[in-house]
Amino acid sequence: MEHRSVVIIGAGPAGLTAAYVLSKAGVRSIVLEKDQIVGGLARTVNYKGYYFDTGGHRFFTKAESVEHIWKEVLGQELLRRNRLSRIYYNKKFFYYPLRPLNALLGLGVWNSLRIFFSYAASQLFPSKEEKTFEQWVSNRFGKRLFKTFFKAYTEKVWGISCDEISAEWAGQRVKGLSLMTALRNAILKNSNGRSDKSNVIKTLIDEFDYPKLGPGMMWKAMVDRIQRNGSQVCLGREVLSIRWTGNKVDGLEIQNNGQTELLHGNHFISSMPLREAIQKFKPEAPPEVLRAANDLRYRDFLTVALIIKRTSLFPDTWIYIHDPEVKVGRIQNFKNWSPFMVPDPNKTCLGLEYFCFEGDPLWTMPDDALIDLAKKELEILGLANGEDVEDGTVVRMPKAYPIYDSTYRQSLDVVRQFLTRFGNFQTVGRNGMHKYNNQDHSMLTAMLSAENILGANHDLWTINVEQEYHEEKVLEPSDEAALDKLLPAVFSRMDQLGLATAIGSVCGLLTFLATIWLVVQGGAGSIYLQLLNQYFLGYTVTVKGAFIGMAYSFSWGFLSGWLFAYLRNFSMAYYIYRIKRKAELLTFRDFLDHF
Amino acid sequence: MAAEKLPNEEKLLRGVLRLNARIMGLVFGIVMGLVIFVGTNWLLIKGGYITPEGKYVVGPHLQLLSQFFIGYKVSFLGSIIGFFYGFALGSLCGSAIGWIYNQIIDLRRR
Repeated sequence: MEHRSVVIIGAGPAGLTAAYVLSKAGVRSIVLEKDQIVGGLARTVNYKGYYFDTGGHRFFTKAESVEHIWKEVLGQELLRRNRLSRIYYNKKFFYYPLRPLNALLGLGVWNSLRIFFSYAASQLFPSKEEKTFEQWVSNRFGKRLFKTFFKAYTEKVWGISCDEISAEWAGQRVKGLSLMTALRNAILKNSNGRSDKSNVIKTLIDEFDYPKLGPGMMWKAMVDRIQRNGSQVCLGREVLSIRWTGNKVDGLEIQNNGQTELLHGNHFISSMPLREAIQKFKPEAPPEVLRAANDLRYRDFLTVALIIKRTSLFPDTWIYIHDPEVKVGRIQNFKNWSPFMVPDPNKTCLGLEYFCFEGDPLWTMPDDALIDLAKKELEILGLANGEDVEDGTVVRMPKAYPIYDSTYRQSLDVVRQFLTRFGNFQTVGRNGMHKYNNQDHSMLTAMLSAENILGANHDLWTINVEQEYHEEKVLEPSDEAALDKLLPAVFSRMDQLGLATAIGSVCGLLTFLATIWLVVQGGAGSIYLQLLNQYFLGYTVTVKGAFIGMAYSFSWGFLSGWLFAYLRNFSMAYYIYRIKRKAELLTFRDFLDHF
Repeated sequence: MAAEKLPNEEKLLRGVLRLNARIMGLVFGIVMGLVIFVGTNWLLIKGGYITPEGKYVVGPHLQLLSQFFIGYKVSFLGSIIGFFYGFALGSLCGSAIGWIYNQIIDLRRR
């Protein structure tokens, strides 16, 4: 029986980051990894000297702390890559993110018109219910665009119909979108012009960093550093059970080379799939918690890597395959991710990604059959000849994506509620939190969990609430604060009654004083002011008339003031709505990249 | 980051705009002064007409302003005098609108 200060389950980006942060702070930990390779979902496989990434992991983030770790660990080994990706749909290629002219030419004028009218219809008559992914996207882009660019691919990825996918999955991307940020960006964009805007987008979407030999290089380098600092990363250690009493996790029962060991610790960080973690609790978690955990579902995927005797096949880093004629969902061209990943410059290595469920016919298909299928589909797509394929291998990746189905939220809440009782057990990462975290967000949750052990009090579940707003401008904190203070002063609602009364009072007083002034002067020239009675019935240039005129003027001034304030508020609200809506739509610019 | 922004966002969504009475006065004053100045000079440039009595008349209706603005005439000098009168009256009206508006907001908040 061993005792460790901190025990970390899983050597993926989250688990390793937690160990790395702790080791830098002088806290030793032990990382337990079930597989014989580090990197988790972001691992890099080496097949006969060919490196391939399971899923295609770009290194770009808005979290400075994460970027700092990447640079610190890999430094010069990180390459800056240009991204080119396209959608294959209806035997044509479309740039992704979509480019209007390319999309128009590809879809044809008639189809584009139908998309435009469908969009207009969705804006005029949106679906009142927004429970499903289909309704959510259709309400924003129109049914036709949804069917063209979202439906087929989304269903390939998730294996379920779009009307079964929760709207929350799409909504998550815009949930934390700050109105202030959207307004600030809109104002700054107008003042800075288009060139600056283009640069910001280019930096965040069209370019990314990538380790020379794939993400695995990052995790291996991180393991080296962790071990140099005195912590341990142990491969081939499977957690059999999580022992707990009261509000505390006491230890883990682990399997190592067929032997069962007990490992005690003060703190535990788990990045293993949440469903699995709950199932491993000993004594068993309460039945309702176990039931909820069992309801959490995952989507799995496999990569068929093919080595092809061709120097170059296509310029894309990856291609989304929307065509329902083939089963492949995405094709990675690893040589375009990093030329160092392909040892022979006369060859190309492609990764054909198939989304499936563990145990389904695709998952259980023999490797040779999968390689044949991949060759056949490459030919159908016209991307390569089957004869040119020299070799291939298959890598299966279970639980690659937590599924956001219609019941997951309720189940997750029950599980979270149960886990909050444990002061020394934190869950991190994509599967650890059953949350659609990207690599950087997973690392961020891990960093915060490590800080919690060091004395902080972060709520890990709030990470990734803030959406990926790629066009967000970076301002000096002082400028940002000044602008944030100014915006409410400009865009707030104008008090209609207040303005109406103020303008009414001033108009009334002016008419009253003007009339009295003429009365005092003896009525010379009063015939001209008297003309007011064409509108103000009963008005005369007399003392009595001054009061009547004042009442009339007040009324008209009041009405004008109210109308002005109403129209001003309406136009401001519309402006803010448009800005927010546009910002929401912009978050969808790279929507497919987040599968 | 989002938590820091919430108060300002709340202010934007729930807050009520306040007017700066001084600025309102200045803006109204300048606008009103300029309207009179430009209006007067426009009539001078356009030119007047000769009445059957042989009198040359320019802008008889604008001239009526002199009932309130003592010393004002439809002439270049008058346009400058009119500018000051307009500025003064506009400033008063603008400041009054801003002041009354803010008072009402404060009253309604209580």
